[in-house]
Amino acid sequence: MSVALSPETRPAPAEGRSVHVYDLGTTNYADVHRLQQRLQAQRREGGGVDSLLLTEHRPVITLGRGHPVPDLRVPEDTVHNYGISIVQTERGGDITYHGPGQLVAYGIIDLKGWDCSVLDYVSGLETTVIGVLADWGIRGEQQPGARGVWVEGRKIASLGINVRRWVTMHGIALNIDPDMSHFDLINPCGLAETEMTSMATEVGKAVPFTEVLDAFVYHFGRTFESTSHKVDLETELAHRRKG
Amino acid sequence: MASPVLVPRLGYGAAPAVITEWYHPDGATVRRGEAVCCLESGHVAIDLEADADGILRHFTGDGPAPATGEPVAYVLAPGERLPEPPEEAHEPEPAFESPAPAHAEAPPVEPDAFEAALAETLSPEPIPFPEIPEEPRGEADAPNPLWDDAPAPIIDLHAPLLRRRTLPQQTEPAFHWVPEAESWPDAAKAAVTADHGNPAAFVPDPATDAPLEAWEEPAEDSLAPVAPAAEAEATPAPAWAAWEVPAAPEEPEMSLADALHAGELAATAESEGMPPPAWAAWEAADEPATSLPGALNAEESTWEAFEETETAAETYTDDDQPHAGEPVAIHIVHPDPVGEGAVEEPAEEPYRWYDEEAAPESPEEPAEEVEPYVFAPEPARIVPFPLTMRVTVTLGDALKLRERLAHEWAPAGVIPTTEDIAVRALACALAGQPALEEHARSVGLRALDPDGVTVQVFAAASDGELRDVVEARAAVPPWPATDAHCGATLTSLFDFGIDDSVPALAPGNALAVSLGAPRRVSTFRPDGIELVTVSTVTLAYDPGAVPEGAAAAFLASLRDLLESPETLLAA
Repeated sequence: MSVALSPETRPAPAEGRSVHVYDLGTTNYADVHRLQQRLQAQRREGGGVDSLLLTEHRPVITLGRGHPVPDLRVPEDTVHNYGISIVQTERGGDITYHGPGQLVAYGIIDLKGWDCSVLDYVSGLETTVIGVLADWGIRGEQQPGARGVWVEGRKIASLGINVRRWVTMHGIALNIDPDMSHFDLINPCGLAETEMTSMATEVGKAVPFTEVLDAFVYHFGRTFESTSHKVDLETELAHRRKG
Repeated sequence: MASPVLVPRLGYGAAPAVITEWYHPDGATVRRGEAVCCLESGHVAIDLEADADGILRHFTGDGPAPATGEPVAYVLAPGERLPEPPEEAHEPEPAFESPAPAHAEAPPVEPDAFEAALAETLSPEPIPFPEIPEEPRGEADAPNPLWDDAPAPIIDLHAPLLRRRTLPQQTEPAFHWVPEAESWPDAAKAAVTADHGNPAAFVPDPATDAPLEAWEEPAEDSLAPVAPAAEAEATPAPAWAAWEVPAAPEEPEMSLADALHAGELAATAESEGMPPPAWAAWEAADEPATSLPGALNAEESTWEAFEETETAAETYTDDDQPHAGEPVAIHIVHPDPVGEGAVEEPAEEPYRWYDEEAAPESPEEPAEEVEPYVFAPEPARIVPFPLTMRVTVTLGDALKLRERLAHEWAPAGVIPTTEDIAVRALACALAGQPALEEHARSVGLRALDPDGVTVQVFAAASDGELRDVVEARAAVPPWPATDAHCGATLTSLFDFGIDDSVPALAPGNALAVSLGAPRRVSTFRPDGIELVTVSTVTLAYDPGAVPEGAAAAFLASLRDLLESPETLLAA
């Protein structure tokens, strides 16, 4: 399935809302975590640009700020035996899993500059994912009192962000085709009864990662009425090295 | 004026906010822009910041946060009072009853103690703000590859994704040639190279070009380890200038310098966050440390300093092994001419190297100095017409192995490349051919770059495990091709997408191999046509040094190893 990215089909962006999109590929969580912290600190001081980091992580379990004790279904040693590390973060929400086959989108957005409330931003991320799911014929929905995106009671996208001086970090993780057995290690979001699902499971066939990524960028721009500038990382790094 | 820390507006319909954590205890001094507490609503964590410098006074405790726009805390300037709470909230302020969070450094302020604390706060004397140390630059503040000028760690992170492998910027050579090394006595040179079969670099005998084993090992008591790095560094070295040092050759033997600076290289690697090179582990595992003193490069030495070094040597035990990368020193002990501690040499007298056998009976009768060794290598033979052989190798299994290992080793940050597997295969294939075995001692990975060709030299890459090679590749700096000496080289054409090229045979090299960029070709199987990933491996060799049969057997062995790479995992 291809996604139309033609600028003509997009709504007119709100003035001043633009985001630089970085496709980081497969990454270690700790590296991108540091990158986010740097970008957020820079943005807080008025520098940098609003950024959207797109990546898929190597297997890792992350904990929210308010839940420092991992809510696991198995002994912690078992998790480590899988080669999965557990990382404490500063985001909201509870425990979650990231791994290959999961699109993770981190927005480093100055909400004041976007004239956007925290709740509107969170809701916008969910709306973005719902739009992506719709492209593949999946009906995603929000649930009152439970953040994330759900498909008939099964959770397909998890969300958790951190805001400091109106600049966001962390974001939303959409299961495209991850190793679902890894979710059995945890109680996702601290909910023992939560059943996780993925796009591949719902569609019944393989879903190309890059197409979902492109669709996410498109729906992000559509939802927040922003313009997206895709940054070629390799070119950017080469340019900076020369500069 | 008291600066309030207010609950921000989260948006219509937001879940009730809860204060989950105070980052600073009540009464702490905070700076403008510092986060004071964490407010969580739904899956959103918000760090509330102080808007001014001053003393933080909690206005509420952990738990449910006040309504939007209400203060959770105040930041008071010296001499300021806490604003009066609303009438109805005059009873005990919950802020000061709530226990301080576990991480808070200051003790919880009891209601009784509050008055005293407040009085202190309101004292007419301005309360000097203590110096707040900057937050430690932990990993979180590591340079950002996208925005900082520092070398971009993200390059390593995405090494498998990026097409071009980037080499570290090297403004000046990591190693410096030590011209004095040429004039060392044989025992000193032997100490450099005595590495128990794991040489830090390939150091041929410049005179005979004989392998290392052919050299005479120094007597054990002539090698004494000197442990503490600081002392070793502080110890001035012999006054080399007093010697008649022959002129340095125009093209220094960098591999010898490598051996000398083995400890420094590891220290450099460690300080730059790179894993220590593989040979650092070997060095640590060897029983007596065996490298020359780092002090050898210094200007001068005195008897006192030398004695200090000796004392330190005595206190060095096997249990006190140096850390990887820690400079250790070995020097040649010459017999104490007078007796223990009875040497009375003028401080100005420089320490000299003596031939052990001809050691003086007393300092007054200096021993006959060793004839300075003159470094006069024979000019390397330039092979006018190297011969070549080619073979097509199926790379599918090697690529799969790389993917699998990248996944397995990712938690440790070790990311293998196909070139690592090829380097390992090259060394193993050489080691498997008796006629070529000596070339397996050190193999080089050549990187073609428009700015010049660089070589990373791997020592004993056929020993140990494949992971050692991967880690060494991250630690070993590339050298200019003219200065890197190794038994055989591998040139990767991956970065350029070139299928095939005859590798350059550097002067002195007997073998060179190039690995063409992988390409997809169709191949016929009994059950149909299949697409496989192949690469062309081209061997260039010196027919005068390598028998044709050995070259063919080597290339066939290299192909087999690359097609069955599992055998490369461990020696």
